[in-house]
Amino acid sequence: MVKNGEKFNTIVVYMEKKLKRLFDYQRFSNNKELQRMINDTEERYPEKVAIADEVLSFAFGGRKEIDEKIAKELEDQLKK
Amino acid sequence: MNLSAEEIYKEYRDKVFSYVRSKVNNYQDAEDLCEDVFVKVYQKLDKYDETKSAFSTWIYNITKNTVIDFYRSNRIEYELFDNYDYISEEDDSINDLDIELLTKALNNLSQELRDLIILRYYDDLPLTEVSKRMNISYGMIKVKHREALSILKKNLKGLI
Repeated sequence: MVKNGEKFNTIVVYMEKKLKRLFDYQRFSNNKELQRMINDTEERYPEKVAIADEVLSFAFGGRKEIDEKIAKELEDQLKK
Repeated sequence: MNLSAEEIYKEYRDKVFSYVRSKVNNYQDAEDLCEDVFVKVYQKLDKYDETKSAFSTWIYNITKNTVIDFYRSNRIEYELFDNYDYISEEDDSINDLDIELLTKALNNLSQELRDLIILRYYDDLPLTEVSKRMNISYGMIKVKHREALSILKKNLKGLI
C-alpha cells in the first residue's frame, strides 16, 4: 500500500517534470503575461556575480599593490 | 496546413530563435540552428498532421530536438532529465493553452511563492540556490516549495 508521503513525493516528481516542460515551452511561445511575471522575478532576484579584486581595483582605484601589479604586467606586455 | 513556407518563417522565426538563443551561448550557432529548424520544418511539412498536435507545438518539438542534437554532437553537458529527452513531433502534451493555464495558476500564488517557482523551474536553479537568492533558509524554502506545488496542483487540475 502506498503511504501518503510516498504518494505526495510521486506527485512532486511528476509536477516538477511538468513545470519544467511548461517553462521550457514558454521560452518558445513567449506568452507576454507570463514573461512579465518572469521578468519581475528576475529583476527582484538577479544573479549575484563575484567580481575579481583586480577588476574592482581597476574600476574603483582601490588597492595600490594590485594597481602596481597590473601596471607592471601591462608594461611588460608593451615591451614585447 | 494553409501557411506558405514564407508565412511560416515570418510567424515562427522569432519564437524559434528566442528558444534556441536561450539554450545556446554563441549567437552564430543560434542563428545556424534556427535555420536548421526551418529546413527540417519544410522537409517534414507534408507529414504534419493537424489532428495530432497544434502547429506551434509541432514546431516547438522540432526546435527542441534540434537543440538536443546540437548538444549531443558538440558534447555539451546537459541535464539528463525530462527536458532533454527527444520528444515525438506529434507530442501535444504542451501547447499555448497550457501556458495560459499556468499563467493563471501562478497569478493565484503569493508573490513569494511565484518567485520561488519561477527561479526553480524557469531559471532552473536548485533549491539551495533559490534559498540564497531569496535570502530564506534552505529548510524554509523546501517547505514553501511544497506549499507552492500543492496550490499549483489544485489550480492546474486539467493539466496535471
